[in-house]
Amino acid sequence: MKCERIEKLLPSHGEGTLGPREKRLVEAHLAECPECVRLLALLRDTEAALTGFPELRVSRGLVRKLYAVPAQEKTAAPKFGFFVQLIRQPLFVPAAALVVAAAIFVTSPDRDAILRTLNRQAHIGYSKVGRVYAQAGSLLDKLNSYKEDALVSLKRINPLSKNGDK
Amino acid sequence: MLVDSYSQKILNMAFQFTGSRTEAEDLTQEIFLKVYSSLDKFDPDKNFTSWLLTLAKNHLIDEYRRTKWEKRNRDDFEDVLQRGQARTGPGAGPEAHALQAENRRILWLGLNRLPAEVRLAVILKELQGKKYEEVAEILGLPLGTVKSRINRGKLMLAKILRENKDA
Repeated sequence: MKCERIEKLLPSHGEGTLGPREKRLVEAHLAECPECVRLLALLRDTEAALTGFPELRVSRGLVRKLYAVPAQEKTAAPKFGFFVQLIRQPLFVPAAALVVAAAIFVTSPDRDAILRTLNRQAHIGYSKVGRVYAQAGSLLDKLNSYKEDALVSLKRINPLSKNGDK
Repeated sequence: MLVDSYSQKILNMAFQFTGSRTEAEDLTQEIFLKVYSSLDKFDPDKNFTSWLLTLAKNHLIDEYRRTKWEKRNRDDFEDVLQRGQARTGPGAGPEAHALQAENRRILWLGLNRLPAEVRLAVILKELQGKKYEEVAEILGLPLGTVKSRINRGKLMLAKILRENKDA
């Protein structure tokens, strides 16, 4: 019999709760499989180690906090706690709005009109962005030309520069 | 009083499950808050300890799913030994004690590798010393399911022990 099948029976074998047929099967396998014998020994070590795990003592601070819990519970039970919690979640509100909008869109008979409007608005937005981008470019050019003018003027004014000496 | 009778049980259940003292103390407070707010729902015909531990188990599993503790490290076992009450069995020599201490250190870290439901079943049966029937009542599962879950957990831990000894 394969080890995997016997392994599953080992904990019950260790506890002595196997039926006579399964017990015979396990014992026959253990007689010729040192790996499973080792696993059974490790299983016993595991059980022995687990039963003696150290336990924590409850600190005085925690006891004080636990005694204060009933009072805390009276004051901290808001009537609409569930809704307050929902509002506090910043992601939930936009997500809910998105779901409502999607539901309206899916069920609306004027879906095509909505799509057209959305398309138009997207184009308007796109051309606005294009205009702003172009304006920003021309503004940058102007700033560069001002910079160059200012540099030329400074060179002329500076008495230490070669131009000033002349 | 509720705190005197159950705080130690709940704290250790949370500590063994999460592996973190700080986390366990916070969870113990949250569990007591739940207990006080649910006391009116308790059926007096049923076992109070089982009811309370079921509530604790539900809270631990819910929090586990919410925060995925398995990704975090457990407290250092040396600290656990220093802060905890040792429960070594009598009769064993110093060599056997040392071996068992080493096994406990490995198993303490190994607990995090068990699935949450299996871990909790093993904690209740092996660490807290409950009977199979009590564990089944707390977990709200059939006895057979609980037994196979605990056996699976113990086998996984024994293999973790083997893995560490072979390494």
